[in-house]
Amino acid sequence: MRRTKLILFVLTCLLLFFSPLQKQFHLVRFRPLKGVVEEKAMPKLTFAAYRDGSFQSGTEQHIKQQFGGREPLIRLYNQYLWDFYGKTNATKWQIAMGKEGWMYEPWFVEDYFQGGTYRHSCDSLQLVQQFEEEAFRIFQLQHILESCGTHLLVCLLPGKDLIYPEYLPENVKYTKRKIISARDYFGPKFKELGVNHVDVEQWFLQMKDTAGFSLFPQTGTHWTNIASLYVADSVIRYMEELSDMNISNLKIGPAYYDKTRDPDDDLESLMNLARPLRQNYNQYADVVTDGDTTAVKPKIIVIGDSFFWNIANQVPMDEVFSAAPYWYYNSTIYFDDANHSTKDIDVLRELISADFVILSYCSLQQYVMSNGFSKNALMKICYDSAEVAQKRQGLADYIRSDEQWFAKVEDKANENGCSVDATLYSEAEHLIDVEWEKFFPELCDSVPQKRSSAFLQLLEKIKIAYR
Amino acid sequence: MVFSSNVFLLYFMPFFFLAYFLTPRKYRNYTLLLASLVFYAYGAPDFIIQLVASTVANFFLVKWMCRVEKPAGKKLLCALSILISLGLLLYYKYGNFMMENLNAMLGFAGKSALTWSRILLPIGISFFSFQSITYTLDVYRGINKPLEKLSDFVLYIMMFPQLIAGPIVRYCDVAEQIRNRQTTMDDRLQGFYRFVIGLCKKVLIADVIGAQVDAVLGPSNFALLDAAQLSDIASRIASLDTGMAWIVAIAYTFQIYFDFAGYSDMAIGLGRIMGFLFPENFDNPYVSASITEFWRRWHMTLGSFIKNYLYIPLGGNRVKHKSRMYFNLWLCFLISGLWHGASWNFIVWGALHGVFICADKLFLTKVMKKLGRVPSVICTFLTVCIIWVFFRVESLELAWSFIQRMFAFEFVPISFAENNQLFVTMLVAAFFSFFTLSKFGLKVQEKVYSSDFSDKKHIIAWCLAAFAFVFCLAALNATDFSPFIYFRF
Repeated sequence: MRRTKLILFVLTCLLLFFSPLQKQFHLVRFRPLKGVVEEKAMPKLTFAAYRDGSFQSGTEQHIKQQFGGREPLIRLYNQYLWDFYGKTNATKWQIAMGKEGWMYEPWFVEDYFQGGTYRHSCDSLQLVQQFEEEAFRIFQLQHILESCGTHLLVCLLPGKDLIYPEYLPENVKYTKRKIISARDYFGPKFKELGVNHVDVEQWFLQMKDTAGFSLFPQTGTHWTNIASLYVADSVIRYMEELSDMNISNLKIGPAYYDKTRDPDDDLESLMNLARPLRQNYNQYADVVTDGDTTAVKPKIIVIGDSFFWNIANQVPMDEVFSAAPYWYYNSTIYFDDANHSTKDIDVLRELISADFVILSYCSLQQYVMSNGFSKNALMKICYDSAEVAQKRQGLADYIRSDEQWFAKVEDKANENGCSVDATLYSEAEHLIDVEWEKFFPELCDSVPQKRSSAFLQLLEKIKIAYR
Repeated sequence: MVFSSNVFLLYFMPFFFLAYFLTPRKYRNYTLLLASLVFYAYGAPDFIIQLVASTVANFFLVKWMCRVEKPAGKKLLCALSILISLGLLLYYKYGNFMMENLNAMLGFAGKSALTWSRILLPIGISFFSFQSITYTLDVYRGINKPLEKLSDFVLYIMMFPQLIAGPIVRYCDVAEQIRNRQTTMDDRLQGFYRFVIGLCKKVLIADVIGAQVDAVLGPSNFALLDAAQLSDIASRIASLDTGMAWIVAIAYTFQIYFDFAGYSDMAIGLGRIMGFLFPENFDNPYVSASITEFWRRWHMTLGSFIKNYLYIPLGGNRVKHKSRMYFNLWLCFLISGLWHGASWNFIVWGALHGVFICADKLFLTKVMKKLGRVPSVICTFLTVCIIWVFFRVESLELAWSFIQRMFAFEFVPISFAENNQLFVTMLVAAFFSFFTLSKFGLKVQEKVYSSDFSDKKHIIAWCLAAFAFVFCLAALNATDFSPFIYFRF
């Protein structure tokens, strides 16, 4: 009797100490959780943080993310929620459950019913103006870059909602009036302006019933691996057509069934369940290049959303391209050993040295087409940074000389706890951003003729060296 | 620090018990005291000095009181000690309330409002103030001798298991345990089981239901909300249909019980692990057939405090006129309401309970008896439900508006699928709230809470407790874990 209780007491101690020990010594290897969360760092212990409670709440949040044995516990509770209530935290926020077990990211569902438009702007006119400006900038950029031998093209990719609307969740209601969405706008506009683009949506809709494989997976948010291969092949052919280059083509093998691979089940993975929903099989194909020894390897820059991952992870990029850095949302750079962020690079140098710049955005992300790349690139092509700084300084001086305006800036600085100078410059920058045509009238030309000295110098140096 | 936090469950609790059991028996109180100071200082750094200072002052005042022979001097020192405890309570808990009302009156009289900085309420002040008072009065009345060691007194006031949310432990109940207590292996194991039962009540029932209640009624502390947030809550209440209003009211009725009872269970369990036998705080309050019975089962240690230290000194039942007795009863509940929170809604809540207690004494008990046990329980439960609205909605106007929605008789179909977790949890809560209405339920409860555990029973109980503990940890940490597929910029 005494022994049993002693054993149970020891087991209780082990139970209580398991987490700290697991955290310290990794006693058991658990399947890691899928998905990304914002990491909460352990807060710094200061007297002020301790007194106002931010240290305590920060510590709690940090432990919540880091404690030992967290992974199976999260999976256990998610499985309970799924088995008993048909939901998980992922289905609450990140996954919309469609018909027949199809899953969608909720933003795609929202976008399908035109809700996405409202998420980005409630004012349809303002939104259309934004689209128009973006399309025009891309058009300008295409022409300028073309004169330097760099081809720009846009891949307009459909979301899962557009290709498989029949499985969208029921009872999704958006009561607001339907207005223009990004996907409605860019395709026709690019056609009208003559911007090089590939509109995958129509193509997918045509081949949906005849392809012999699913274009989007039941439990993933992106296109299937196999569908992305066919798009990659078409884009390469389109690149050849644009540039008269002979680029290695892809040889895609016959489709075969295999256990679902990443990211075809990225939505299901996000549910972080203890056991898989079903033994899921999807179709895959092997891919090789055509082995053309006369083919050249162009340098491409891809700017876009996560749809490109499927291509990057399957296509033998090294065999087709000399370099293919991926400017993920025009922010983090992948597949480039030297650079990790677009903030660290010389954009002009990169653009001039590339053969192709590809903007690749799915319907959902077209609202933020190019993620500021086109504006930044055009500014750098046409204006030297000193020129821009001078304009900003001039505007800042003007605001400073206007007593009322400056008083407002001071109030704003106080409100936000920033320095007056910083607020003044950000005000000037905002004004330049809003009324850029007033400050940079050359950008209003259909193809701006003005060039920054930095651009001209680089063009001289790099282009000659490269070609 | 709260018991249902990761800091407590994963670090404080295991390391505290390790240190506690490794400490030689005669020094264990010091380990417990040190841990209690850390526990409180972690959560309320600004108040720890006042708390310790007032506790030390009370200890020496009471010691002095015992040495004084003149009754007047004794009385004076006793009053001074109580004044320190009550003074802190009045200042910290009711300072804002008094100033708000004073300013409202000044505004009404056309005078300008007084400016003052809002005072933050130190956690647990309502509990340890009362405990300090029980010590002073029990010693004054000669029920117990004063403690010899200051550290023992500070420990009695600040013992972390019951420091924040009770149970209100009367000094006479634990005086001997502080000086000398035995811990058996049974105590340690059963304390752990009890702690886990409390954790389940809090995490798996109260928190799940609470999230839905908050979705309608907003956060519970209205004093921290701005006008826009209050107007948002008002519009949510105004748009409620009758069915949803009742669901929210019943949900809150379960939430507050499982939250509070869960916390008490955890406190009792933690105490038991160390060999303390804290008094029970709840005895299935929702199976009460009258409000009087409800108060015999709900927050029993507060009821006992109010009875012993307020109602009886006011004259209790031994008053000349019955009307005086009713007034005393009503007043006790009014004060009990005010003790729960410094706001008019708590006063109304207490006053309403007082009214029902008086009504019970006058006629309601007889009516209920005629109705039979089950209908009486239902009527009492619904009454308690309605009165809880004043407790939860910290604005009389909004509380009244909510009650109007409960009786608007406008019904809209409610989707079970969308609210399935809430409904299932409420069913579980209802089951555990009412299952002791049956003899079988009572038997089960007796077996669960009995001290006599065979080996087999221990093994089963441990397995259940271990799983429940792990599951609670899972629930605590998984509820807001919602990763993105990839980072977006």
